[in-house]
Amino acid sequence: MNQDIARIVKSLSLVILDKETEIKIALTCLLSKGHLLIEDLPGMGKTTLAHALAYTFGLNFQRIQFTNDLLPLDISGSSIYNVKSQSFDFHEGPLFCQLLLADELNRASPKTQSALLEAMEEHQVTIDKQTYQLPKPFFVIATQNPKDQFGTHELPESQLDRFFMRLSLGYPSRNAERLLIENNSNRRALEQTLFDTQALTELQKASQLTILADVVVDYILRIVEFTRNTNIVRHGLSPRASIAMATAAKTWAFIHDVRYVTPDDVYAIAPFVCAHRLGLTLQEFQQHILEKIDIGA
Amino acid sequence: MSSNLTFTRRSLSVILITQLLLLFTEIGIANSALILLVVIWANLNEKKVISNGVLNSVTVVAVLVSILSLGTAKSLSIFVSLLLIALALKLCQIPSVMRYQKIVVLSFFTTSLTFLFEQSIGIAFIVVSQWITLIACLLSLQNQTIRTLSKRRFKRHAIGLTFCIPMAFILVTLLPKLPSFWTMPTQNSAKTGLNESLDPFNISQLSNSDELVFRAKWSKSQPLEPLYWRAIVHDFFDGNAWRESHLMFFDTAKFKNSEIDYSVIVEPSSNKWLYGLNYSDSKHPQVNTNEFGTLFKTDNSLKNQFEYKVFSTSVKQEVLSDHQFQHYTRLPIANNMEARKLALALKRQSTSVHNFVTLLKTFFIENRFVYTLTPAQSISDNSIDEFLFNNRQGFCGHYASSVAFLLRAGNIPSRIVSGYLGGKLNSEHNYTSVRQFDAHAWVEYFDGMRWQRLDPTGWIAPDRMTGSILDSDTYRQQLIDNLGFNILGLNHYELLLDVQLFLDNIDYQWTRWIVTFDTQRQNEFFSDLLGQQWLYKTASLLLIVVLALGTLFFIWTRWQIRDKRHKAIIVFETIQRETNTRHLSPINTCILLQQRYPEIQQEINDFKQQYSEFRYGQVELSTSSLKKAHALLKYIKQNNKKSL
Repeated sequence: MNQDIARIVKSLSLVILDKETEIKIALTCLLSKGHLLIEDLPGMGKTTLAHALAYTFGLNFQRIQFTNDLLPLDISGSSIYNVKSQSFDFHEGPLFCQLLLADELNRASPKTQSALLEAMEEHQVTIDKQTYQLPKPFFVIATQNPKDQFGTHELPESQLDRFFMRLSLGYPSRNAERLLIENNSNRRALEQTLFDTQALTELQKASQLTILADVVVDYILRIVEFTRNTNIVRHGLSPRASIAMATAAKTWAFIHDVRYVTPDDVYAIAPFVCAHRLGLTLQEFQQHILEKIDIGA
Repeated sequence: MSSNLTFTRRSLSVILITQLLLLFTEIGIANSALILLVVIWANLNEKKVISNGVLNSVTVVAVLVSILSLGTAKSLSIFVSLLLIALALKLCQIPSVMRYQKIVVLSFFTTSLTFLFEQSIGIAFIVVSQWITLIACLLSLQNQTIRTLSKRRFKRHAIGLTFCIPMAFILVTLLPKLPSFWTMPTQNSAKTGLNESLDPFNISQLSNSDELVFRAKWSKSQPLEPLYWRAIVHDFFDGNAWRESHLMFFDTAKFKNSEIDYSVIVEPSSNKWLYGLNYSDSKHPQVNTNEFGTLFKTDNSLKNQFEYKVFSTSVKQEVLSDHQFQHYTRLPIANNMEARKLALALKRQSTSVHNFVTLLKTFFIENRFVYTLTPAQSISDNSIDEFLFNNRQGFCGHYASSVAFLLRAGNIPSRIVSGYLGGKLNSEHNYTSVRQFDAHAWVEYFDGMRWQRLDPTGWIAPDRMTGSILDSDTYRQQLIDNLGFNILGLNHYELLLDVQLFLDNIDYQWTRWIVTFDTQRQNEFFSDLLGQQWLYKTASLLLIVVLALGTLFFIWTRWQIRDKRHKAIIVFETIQRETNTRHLSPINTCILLQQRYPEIQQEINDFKQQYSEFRYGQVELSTSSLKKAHALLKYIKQNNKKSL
């Protein structure tokens, strides 16, 4: 594993116990400049992970707790009349940060959810015909409760497609939970910064230098084509998904300190990149789609 | 009616009419006219439906007309004419694409029927044009033209056709020719040729035509002496005509030594007599030699072109028996008394047989006999007297006939030989063409030692002797007047002469290599090429060629579908197949193998690294790595065997 990454993973593992794969996936997402969607039951450590990531990279961090009465202006900010200058001054909302934790995103109304759309894709906010650039880098880590929970709105497909990856932390292992119980006070101990923004940008650049061979691209294409020609899912994967898979696979290989992507890398990241776009769970995607595709020799 | 159906019907009509023009002499004017009428009817009547009753009655009429006009003997002509009328009647039925396709396919057979009667290159050219038109019809029925035919289809058909050509060549030249199970009924139609009985006084005009009789291909160069092509020996005089005797039909002992050898290609004729110089013999199984040294065919038909090799020797010494002497001096009835008197007078004057002949020659020269192609006709019993003492005008037959008569009257054994004199040499290809106007008759007499040739025509017209009649200016004009307008009349023009020679040569090569290429020629051709046991050699050669082609084809197809990927990938896939890990990725496969074969864990790990680098990391695989991969595969295979 890449030395820098190894340090991060080690540091994050102090907070999120026994979840190395998930931590690496979250890192992959961050290094690929993608937005991350964490789907879990309440109390599984979603917020903790987001926090930890923000602190690790020393990012400017904001958190919005989404509720069903939250309005778009509440997150983007609004223009307020300034009596002294006799003009409208724009007051930035919580969106103006480097890492936004959108907690329980699916509790908000679709109207408010859509306010995030422009910000996530264009990295800008338009209010009163005025376009404001968001700081760089800009990440959204959104958490959502499982659909069947009371008082949730399903995220629209357009918004789901904008999330680079979806992750579930799941229940901790028995040992991890024991440790959690015993050292509850340590839970938020991680407040030290390992990297600055500059270093993060460099890691992001370096990760995309990984070699992507034609055979691997063929494998990605096979996956995409399979979803387009099967009746297991309603719609196939978009080209954005195939690009995301390639990017994620490159980063995944980079994290493991390999200078080329193997089909195994694609195999590893594909469920996290694709499952939410097809409306499937990770297991469903793996079982019904990934296992049926020839990985190639 | 759609345009392509109209096109097809008109094309088929034109093809049928062309064939009628080629064959009307064979199938008769009545049948041709009937077929023509039906074709015209079919074309005029395109919209109306003709009932089957009408068609059936026309068929019955056609059968009756065929049999009545041709007679039952000409079964082949009847057969052909009925096929053609059936095709014409087919055109009268309601047009549909399906029906017309069938008619076009049938037409491929009917157009080929022309070859039953004629096989010249000109006919072949016309028939091939008919086939091309038929192919155009087939295309048109598919709503296609050569331009709309897609390139792929065109290419496919072109390739198919190209493969057919060497196939056809092999089938025709190499495969031994087997006798057919069924042969066409023989055609009895008479072609012009020599007459078996010679009665020149009965003929008012010699029917000279420029029709080709035969060609002789010289193995060395053409002999210098005048070419007397002997065909029929007339040794029996019935008082008016000279006839052939039964001796002509007996196959006798062969002549041993050969002085000239050449091969002859004979055009079809109604006779079975073949042509040769001096005393001839042939090894051809279908050619016999009689005691006169002339050749004849074993079966009576010469309806196709026929080729045979000839060996000729000079006249041999012999002794005539009393019976033979009587036979050759026999003059049956008492006529031509003046001529007999003359012969006896000359006999008294002469000292020897040769002296008698010299006296005869003097008689003919002194009495100013004239050579003509248009003699006066005579029907009296004393025609020789009339000729010798009154007319004194005639052609070779008159001179031969009267001289032979005088010789017999003088008690000298003699006979008349008819055949051809000379011929036109094509010096470039070393063959001589003999045409109908080269027909000639001369005398052979026995001088006590051997048979001598005597050509009395030479006394009167010496220039006639040197070669073809065409070479003698005196008679050429007469001949051309006789023939009417003909390309021969234009012989003075160099270019036309060249064209004529060129066309003649094409026809000669066509006949020599295509039409007469039968078992015999095939045998000779390959014997010359490969030596005696050519059949075994050819068979083995054919087998080798077929095997080699088959192997090449097999290799080619394998090569076409060969695995074009890198060898390492193929090796790795084989490993996966051997270890049942096709569903795993290369890295997982290696991990599994490491568990399965812990003893070579390190080697597998190396392979995993090198293979991944090569496959995904754009690093070339070294030869040693490839060798190691092979070694790994070998190890796994051996292990698999052991565990089994």
